[in-house]
Amino acid sequence: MTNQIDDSIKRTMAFWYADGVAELCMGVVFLLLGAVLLVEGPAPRGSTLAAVMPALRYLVIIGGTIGIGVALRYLKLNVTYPRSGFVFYNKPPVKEMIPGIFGAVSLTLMLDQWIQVGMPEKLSWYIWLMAGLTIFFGYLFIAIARQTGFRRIQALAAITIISGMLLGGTGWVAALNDSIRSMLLGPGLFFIAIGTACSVSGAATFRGFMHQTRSGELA
Amino acid sequence: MTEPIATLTDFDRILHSPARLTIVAILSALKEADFTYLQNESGLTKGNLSTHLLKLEEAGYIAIEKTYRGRIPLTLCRLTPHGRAAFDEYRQQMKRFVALTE
Repeated sequence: MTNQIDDSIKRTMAFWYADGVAELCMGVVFLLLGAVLLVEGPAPRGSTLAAVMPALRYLVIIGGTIGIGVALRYLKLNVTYPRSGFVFYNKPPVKEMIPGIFGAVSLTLMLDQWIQVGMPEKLSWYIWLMAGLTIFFGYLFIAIARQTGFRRIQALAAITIISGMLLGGTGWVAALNDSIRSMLLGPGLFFIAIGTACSVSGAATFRGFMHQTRSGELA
Repeated sequence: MTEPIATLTDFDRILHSPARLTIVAILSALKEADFTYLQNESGLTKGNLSTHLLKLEEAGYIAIEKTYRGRIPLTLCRLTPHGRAAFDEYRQQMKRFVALTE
């Protein structure tokens, strides 16, 4: 019976991810960030584009973090909950939010420092950045997969780790030595890869959820 | 009567029903949930769920608020501190019982 209680609690906690909307929103932000990095990388130094892109990068990271919350709330209240029933989660205690906030701030600073300071000079910075991104997002998806037990989130974790390892390999980056700034292609492609995976997974799950609730299995 | 078996008789009778335990377990993971969600998740019929919710409310384990979202009625349920304490105690008691009988 204790297992059944634990299963009920786990299922309830996992319900947040059951409709795929969270992945879809995350995927869109990752794709935007990836696109910004891909444009920023080859932009010639001193050009208007090179001056504008860092600000745009911050806008996507900060705006995306806030925007995900707003978009999620809107979609849950207007699309998901009218079909599944309304659910309101407890806000996690501040103590539990600290690692997440610390991780997000560290990631932003790491990305910024890498681009501003280390990136133009050293290949090793690239490897460290890719390792950091892979560990951070890999851990994030593994944590969500453990909490929810969803196989598709496990697949996202695997895609994140494989993408990070492949793109973190120095071979193809070294080939781009005509412009070290081209190393931004690595993180850019990384975010495009996980953004695409998240969006596809989220969209497919959302479609399934809509179909399931329309046929009356949940509603 | 051996100690493990005696422990069984001490279980909270309100929570020692699978349906009510499921409802409380769901609510323990949330701030609040509405009737439709609880019905979908528990698999109970409307009438059955209403009866169990009423018993839990009478015991002071849950609070029920009837409100509206637009023009649609919304019945929101949440676990009270008393209900959460009872649920935590029930889980501990269950774990002790399982440990004793294994």
